[in-house]
Amino acid sequence: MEIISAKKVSKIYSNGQGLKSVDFTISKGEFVGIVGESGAGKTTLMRLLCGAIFPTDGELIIYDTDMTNIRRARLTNLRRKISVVYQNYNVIPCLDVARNVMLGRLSEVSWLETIRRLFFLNREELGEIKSILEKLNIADKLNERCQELSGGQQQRVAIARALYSKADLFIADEPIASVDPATANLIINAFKDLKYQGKTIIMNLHQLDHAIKHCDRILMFEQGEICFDGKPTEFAQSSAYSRLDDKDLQMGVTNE
Amino acid sequence: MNNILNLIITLGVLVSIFYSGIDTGVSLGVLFEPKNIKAVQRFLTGLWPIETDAAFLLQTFKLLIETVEISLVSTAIAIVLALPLSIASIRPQGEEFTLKRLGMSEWTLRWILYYTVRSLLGLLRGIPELMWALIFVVAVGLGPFPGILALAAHSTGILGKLYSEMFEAVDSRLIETVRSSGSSQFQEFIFVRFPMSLSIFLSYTLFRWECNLRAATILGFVGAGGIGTQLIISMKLFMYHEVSTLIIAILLLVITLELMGQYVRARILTGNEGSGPRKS
Repeated sequence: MEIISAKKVSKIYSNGQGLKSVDFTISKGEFVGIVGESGAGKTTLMRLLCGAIFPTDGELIIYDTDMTNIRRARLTNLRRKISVVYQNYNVIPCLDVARNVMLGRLSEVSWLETIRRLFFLNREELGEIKSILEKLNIADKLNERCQELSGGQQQRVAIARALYSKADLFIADEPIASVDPATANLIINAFKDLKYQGKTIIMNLHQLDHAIKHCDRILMFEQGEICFDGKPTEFAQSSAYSRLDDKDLQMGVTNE
Repeated sequence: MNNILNLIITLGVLVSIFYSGIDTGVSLGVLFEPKNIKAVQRFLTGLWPIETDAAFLLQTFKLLIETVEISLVSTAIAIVLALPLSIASIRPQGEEFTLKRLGMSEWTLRWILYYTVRSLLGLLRGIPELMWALIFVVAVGLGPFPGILALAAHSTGILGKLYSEMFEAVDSRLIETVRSSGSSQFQEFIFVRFPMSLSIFLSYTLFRWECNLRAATILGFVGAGGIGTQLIISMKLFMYHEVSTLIIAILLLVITLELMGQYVRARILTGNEGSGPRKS
């Protein structure tokens, strides 16, 4: 079942950069890795997919919703099916870990419940949050403020928030770019678990080895266009891969 | 060309200063005229000894308390009014608030609300406290109540603007994180904007309370309660020894307040230090 379909989608910024007429479709249950140099349009794609920005041209359909002409009221509804993890700025630093995880399900509750959850979480909610944090080895930080955590721990909180949400589509923009290798594996595995539950994952990755090892499919961007779309095994032998690999993108590989 | 322009501006400013001085009758001679020196002498010698009559001290104390009460209640009212107004005047940010995404009617309503509330806040703070006091004395009669209304009105204008700018200044990337998981703007406010601004919120509000306390000491000049009521009476009756007691009382109050303010502010700041800077 197709959940995302892009036909000649463009998003051109005022400086001329951005995405230039890209075509692709993504089906339910796929784990898609997005690779490419910095400035190739990966983050633009991520932000298009979660409705932070909108196409300047073309047709982008997500869950049968046309993103080009979508109204804000509809957008908020659509976003409930989507969970986003960015590279940074994922956690609210002044709130504790439990509240940050709670953010994942906030869109489903009323305004009164929202206020209640800021001040008080009941045993059931805390229990569920704690069991997710346990999988990510940070259950002991439940009541700590996020500004007291390290970068890797903050990123795990962000993943916990995504896991706690009831989303179907997970969009991750470089979720492992600024964490240590152990945390990176933990995070990748959490996403793989989601995939086995039938969720769809679109992940922007700097580390090509991770992309080849874990993704079902690779989309490579170059100067705002798609230059490769296929299986990881094919990607590893393609000219696109060697072009990218020659550049300064092996950091993740050499780190491990 | 630029230099000549600068010269003209400088000359213009100097000429206006001199003209304004002459026009308003500024003169060192007047200050040192024998008649005026005598008046100052009379005032200064009248200040001593300070009035220590028990009844007057008690009256002063009561008025001081009233002054503090006026400032407390007016600040509280201002917070309650300023918060919703400031939320209404947060500028909509991001591509999802363009005309195309909101639709004509919602977009128009939103911006009408934004500009109406901004103008209202501007009006509230544009009128000085004493002028508000005069208006409210006419409306509800003499006493501390019009004073409270006056300070509340002016402070609502100031706090409303400060709050809305503080809420707008919250990192837009954090806002996007919360928005992109489907949270409403209300939820975004409760879970991000408000907690992220809490310490600035306390600091602004505390400062506004200090300002209100100082302002409350002169509200009595126009009959709007507080210690100024007695000050203007003693002044007009040439009871300068009473005036000195009142001035000392006001000074003590302001100093106490300053010390308290420092203490509270230090507590807020150490509260933040204790949790450490954000590691990344």
